[in-house]
Amino acid sequence: MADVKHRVLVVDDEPNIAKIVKKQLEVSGYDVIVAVDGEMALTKVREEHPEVILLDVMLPKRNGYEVLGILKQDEQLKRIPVMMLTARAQQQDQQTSLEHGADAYLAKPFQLEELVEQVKALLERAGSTT
Amino acid sequence: MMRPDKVDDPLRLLLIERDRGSARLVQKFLASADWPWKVEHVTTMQEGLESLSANGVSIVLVGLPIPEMKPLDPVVQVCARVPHVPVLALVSPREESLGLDAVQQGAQDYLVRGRLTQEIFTRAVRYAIERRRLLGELERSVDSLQMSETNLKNVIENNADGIVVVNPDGRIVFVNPSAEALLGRSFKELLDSTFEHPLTTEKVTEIHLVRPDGQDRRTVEVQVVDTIWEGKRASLAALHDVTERKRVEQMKDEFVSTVSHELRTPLTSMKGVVALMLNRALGDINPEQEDFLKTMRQDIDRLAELINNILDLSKVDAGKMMLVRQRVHLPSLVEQAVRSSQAILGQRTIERRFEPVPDVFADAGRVLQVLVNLLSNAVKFTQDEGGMIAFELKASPAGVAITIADNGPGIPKEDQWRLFQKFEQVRESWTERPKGTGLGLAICREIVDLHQGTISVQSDLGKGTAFSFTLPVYDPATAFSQSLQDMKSVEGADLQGVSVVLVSLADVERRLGSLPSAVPTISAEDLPSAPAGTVRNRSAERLGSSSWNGTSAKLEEVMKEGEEMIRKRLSRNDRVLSLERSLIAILAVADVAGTETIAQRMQKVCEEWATKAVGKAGPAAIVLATGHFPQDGMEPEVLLSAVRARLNAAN
Repeated sequence: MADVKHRVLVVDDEPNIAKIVKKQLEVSGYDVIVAVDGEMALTKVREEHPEVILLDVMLPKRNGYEVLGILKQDEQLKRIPVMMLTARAQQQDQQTSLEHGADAYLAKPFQLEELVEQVKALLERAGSTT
Repeated sequence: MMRPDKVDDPLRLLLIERDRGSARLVQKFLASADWPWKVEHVTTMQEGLESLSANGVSIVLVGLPIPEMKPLDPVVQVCARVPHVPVLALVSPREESLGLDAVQQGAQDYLVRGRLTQEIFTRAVRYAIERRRLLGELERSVDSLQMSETNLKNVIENNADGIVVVNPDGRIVFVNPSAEALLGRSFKELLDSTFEHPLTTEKVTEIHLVRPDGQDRRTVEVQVVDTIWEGKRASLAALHDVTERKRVEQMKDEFVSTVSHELRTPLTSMKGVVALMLNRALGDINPEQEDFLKTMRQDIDRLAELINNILDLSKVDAGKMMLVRQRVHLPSLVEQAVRSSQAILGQRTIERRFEPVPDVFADAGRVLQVLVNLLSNAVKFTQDEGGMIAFELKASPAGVAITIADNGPGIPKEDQWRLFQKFEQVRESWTERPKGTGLGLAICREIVDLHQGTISVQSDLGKGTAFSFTLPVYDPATAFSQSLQDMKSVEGADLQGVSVVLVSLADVERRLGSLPSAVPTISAEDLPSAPAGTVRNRSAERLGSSSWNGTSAKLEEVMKEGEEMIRKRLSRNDRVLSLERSLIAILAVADVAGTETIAQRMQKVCEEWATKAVGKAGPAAIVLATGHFPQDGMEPEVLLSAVRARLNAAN
């Protein structure tokens, strides 16, 4: 682990979930920022340069796929790994996530440990290819 | 001479004739006939018609011509007035042709004045009556035929279901108005055109119809039966419009999915908070706090399980539980079940009695659910201390049998049948209060049923209970066609097609240093106690693969890794199988562009993985090809060989 904390953007409109994920990631050694809707997510990506994005599918203003689409079409932003948080019941979401260029997905409800694992893996992969 | 009706009544003959000589002759003939006749003789047409309306007449004899009338008019008028009474014309020898014309206008026959004899007359009358009677019968049977045809026609024409008859060449020979409406084209347009939907008599298929103008999408269930059309074999397809029903079902699904989301979100957050605290993320906790937090976590899990069970059963009821079957290594799955249930096991001992078994073709997630369910059941009915739960794996005629046995109190025989029923709880004799929801075993049974396996219970009071279920052995060829079948029948997913990505591992194999050689093959039959995972060689060989030597074992290991890796990157709906020296991904994507995107990503990932797998042998190239159902073939074999051909071309 580098000395500098990796920055993670958590996008979830459920404030309680966002709060818990933020806390767990902070305890696991990450610098965490939170957005509660699609617009806010895009603003935070541009202004605060996260290294990993955890993106919920169901979001107000712009849904997760729209945000993902915008990110992956942007030359600068498309390198940031994105993990979609999908509902277990909506299997189609996972398909759609990958078609839209998501780097991973995690079905809800997830274990916090699993989430931390995945974030770590995404960062390692991003680090090895650049 | 036979009398056509009741003997007692005299037959009545109406004679319209101006010539008195002929009239007298007729009366004389009739007087000596062998049944009684009543003759009424009139000389004008007007009298004749009046008499016809007054009396029930058996036969009419019309003398032609009648002054001031067109020659044939008398016959026409009489026939019109009494259509069911036979009419004979009487003509002069000079006008015999008039008699023929009269027959054309409806007279039964004609007689010629001056040539009348008893015999000719009697025969003419007799035949006229008989012919008229037969004609009447014919008319009546034609009427009744017409009536029944009209009835049948009405039933078909007014049927709310569409009816289409297709000949063996697949061409439409008949459609009813409902089918015209559903297909959005008229009978004329449809006649002799191709019916573009599968005609299987085995089951009801669901098709989507869009009118040619692109408006009004309908969901239609098609049921096909064999029939005969115009003396030849044909298929009769009944099209039942289920659009509305589907819409309601979809609304219900959306409702269930919303409710489940609403129920799960707070649970997720509660579980998260407990996890944070147990992880000491919110500071240190004392042992008692930890104990109570664990209690809370258990109950959150129980509630989550309950919600999942209810949702699963509603899925099963709607026929919407879909399996994602792939190759499953049972020993690891059992371990996973034990690991995930660790929190509830307590002091109980877990025994593993694993015989070497082949991999099975199953939905890993669903089978895990069954294992966890049966395990938690066993936990509920065994003591913490001295409790013993044994997992058994062994080969069975149906594939592999998995048994979970406990040393609990056992279940009385008379209660065993109820175990797999919904909401059933067996109490009193073997436990004082119900535990769980009574849904777990019902779901287990549904899941095992979907796998074409069987589940059963064996229990002795005081000794313990053993639940066993079977799963089919994994075989790549069957797995491929079944997966395709599974995906085609996905309900609600609005799946119009399936794509296949075939990844060739030829280069990987070359780099592993095992160029195909003439080394004697080792088949599964040579390895009676083959470790799990090698039995598939048998089917691989059947599919034309040749050498499986020592290096191939390495290749297989690599393939297994690759399978796992691709699976992780695809959606839950997709399947990954290994077949010969290739990996196959079956994707629930119909469009070519979408598949290409995924294929490109797969290629990248596979190349990374393959390069890592072959190590020093240098960068490995991955060749892949895609195919689409149904465009590239309706049958699995056809589809696969189409993709394979593409792959060979790319190689």
